[in-house]
Amino acid sequence: MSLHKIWLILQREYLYNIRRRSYLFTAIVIPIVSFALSGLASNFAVSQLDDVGNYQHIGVVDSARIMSGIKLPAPYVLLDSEPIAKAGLQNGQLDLYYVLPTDYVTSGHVDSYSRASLAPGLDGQFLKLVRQALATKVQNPALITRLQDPAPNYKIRRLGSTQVYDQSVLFSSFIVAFGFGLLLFLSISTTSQFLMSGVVEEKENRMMELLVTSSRPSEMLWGKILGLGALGLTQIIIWALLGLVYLIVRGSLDVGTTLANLQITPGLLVLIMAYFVLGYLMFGALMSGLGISVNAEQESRQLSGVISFIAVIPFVLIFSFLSDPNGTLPVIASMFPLTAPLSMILRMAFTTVPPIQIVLSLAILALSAATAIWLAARLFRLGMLNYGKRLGLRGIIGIAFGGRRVITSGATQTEAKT
Amino acid sequence: MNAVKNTIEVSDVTKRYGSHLAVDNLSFEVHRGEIFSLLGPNGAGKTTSIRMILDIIKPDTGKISVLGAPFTEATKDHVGYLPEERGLYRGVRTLELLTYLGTLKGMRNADAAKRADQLLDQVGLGESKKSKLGELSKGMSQKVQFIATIIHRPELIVVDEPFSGLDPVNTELIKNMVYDLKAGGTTIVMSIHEMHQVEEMADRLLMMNRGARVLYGSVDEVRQQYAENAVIVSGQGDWAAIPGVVSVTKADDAGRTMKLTLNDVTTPDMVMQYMGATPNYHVRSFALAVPSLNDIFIRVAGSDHNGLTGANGAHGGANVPAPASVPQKVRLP
Repeated sequence: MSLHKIWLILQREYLYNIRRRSYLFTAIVIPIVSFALSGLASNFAVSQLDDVGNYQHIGVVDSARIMSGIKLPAPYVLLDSEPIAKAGLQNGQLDLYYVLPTDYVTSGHVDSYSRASLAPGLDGQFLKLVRQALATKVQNPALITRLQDPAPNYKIRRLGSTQVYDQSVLFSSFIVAFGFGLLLFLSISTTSQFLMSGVVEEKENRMMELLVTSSRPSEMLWGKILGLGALGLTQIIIWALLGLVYLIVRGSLDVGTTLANLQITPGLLVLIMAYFVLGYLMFGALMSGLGISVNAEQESRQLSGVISFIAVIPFVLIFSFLSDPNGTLPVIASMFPLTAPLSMILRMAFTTVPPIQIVLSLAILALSAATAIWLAARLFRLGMLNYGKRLGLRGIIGIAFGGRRVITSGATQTEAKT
Repeated sequence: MNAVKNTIEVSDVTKRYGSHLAVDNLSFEVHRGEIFSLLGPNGAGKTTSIRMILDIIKPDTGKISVLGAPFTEATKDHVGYLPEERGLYRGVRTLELLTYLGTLKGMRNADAAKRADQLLDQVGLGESKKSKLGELSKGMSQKVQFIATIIHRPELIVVDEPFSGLDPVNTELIKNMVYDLKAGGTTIVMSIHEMHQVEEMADRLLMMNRGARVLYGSVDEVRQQYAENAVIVSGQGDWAAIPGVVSVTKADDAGRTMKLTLNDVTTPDMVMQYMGATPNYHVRSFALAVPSLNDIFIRVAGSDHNGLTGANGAHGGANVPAPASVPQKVRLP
């Protein structure tokens, strides 16, 4: 193989696709829109539930007599009876009022009255006040604190694992697992679409015949996989940067603390990279191989959708991974090559995985990646000139096992290699 | 590679697609620096042969040598190919694509860009250098594709139907570029349907039918071998009265020219002398009845059921493999 030709093809694939409108849309417009939407949504939720700044006066009718222990801060005002509150609401002195009925302690019943708009729930600040008021009925001050926040400082240990998890470590583990999963999924879905549509385009416009007389099929394959891999990586970096900017702007992430808490050892980093690279190579080769075997872009999209879905199955099964990371299902998922990269990272984030399993899973993945690349190169060599025909499963198997699938004037036939 | 006399040597090559015999024990040579034409009806095995020469597909049996050696990756840089079914990336700019294809053939980037620029000017596409290929007309993109075939100054170009879809002006343009290439020492293999182009351009030809070789040699030789002992005349006079004339038939549909078939002992010279010496013959034109390649093509490709032994026999059967089995059907153009 000529590295120079791989480099030329890599460059073309990267530079051509990065200028495509659909790429720019996925890489830039979608994250901006989704961050903007999530920002709006959370702002909305906050203003409805927690932010009472818009309200001038909120009445509290304490028929249950539990608020006596605390002083209500503004905008809350204690009212003597419900008719007063009702009149206040009607003449605009009150924006809202709550009624704690006499049987509140036993029934938990709370009524809220407002003018026109319907709030989706009780405001969090009011609930906090109620909790404070209830706590004053308890004599032990330490108990009051615990009552309000029962376990701010917890540690989790698993049998057979030396790692201790506290809140920040768990949060970091989630970030690692989800971040990795998201990155893997994004790069797979980006590359699969571009890789497949690229190959289908070259088949449809007959560039393939020109390319195959200028380079080896394996050079084309590597050039495409690496070029589009770089494209996927670019997209990930753009998303990550935009996400970071969003979080900093919103102030909901103390970046420094989170990064400090990310307990990524060099060993773990190497493992993540290994799964990432092997996983990407396998998916990339599969997608290119499918692209060369199908006939229409439509068909390729459906197939790439199926493969992308299989890749994110571990996310769907996230609760199995959380509750029992070394259970049967997670172990099987971390061995099966299509789900292995994501599954193993999830497991490593939540527990200590026996080294033998990591070795086995990496070996299976490496073998699968090599097989996928070999098969894709073979499909490129033999399948690319089958214009207007779709290689069925039988055709692909035929090519894999040494047969040659060819098109004659009328029929498609599989011929054993001589 | 300059010492190699034959740019291509195909020896006893057979290719089967399942039960279909696409190429049947084919042998031929393409000499260095010539224009070699590949002829035959659709489905004769021309494209399969071309693809085997270019190592896109492998022959089942037989040997092919290109530029003096079996085809390798290094050979690719010295060969240009214009496929029959053409197409280019639609969303890429003309100059950019040609530069890319040039570099894939081993050219330096600057060199490829410069030559692409120059060739685009030469074919009158100077205005379209920055245009996307999808915006070009069919004729324009065909010229771009021809440039892609020759940009890397190959020693051999293989062009499959180079003139299909081109108007007369552009046909002339490409034809002249092919002549220039030939003058520069490039070997040209052309698969072509237009017989008059073959007669005009090709030095030698190979006609295939049903995967096998049916005609092979220089264009003049082939035409001579199919020549009858007959003359084509136009003018006035009693043609049938000329001694040695066996029959008189219309040589064209309107009957403006007549074909006089002669017996074995009469030569065209004798006919001319007789007419000159005899009153009442006014001859406007007089020519030997050498069939056009088109006639030969139709005769060879259309006479399957009679077998083609005549054709094979006429061309030194030593070189011509007899078809092992006579295929039952052929698709005519």
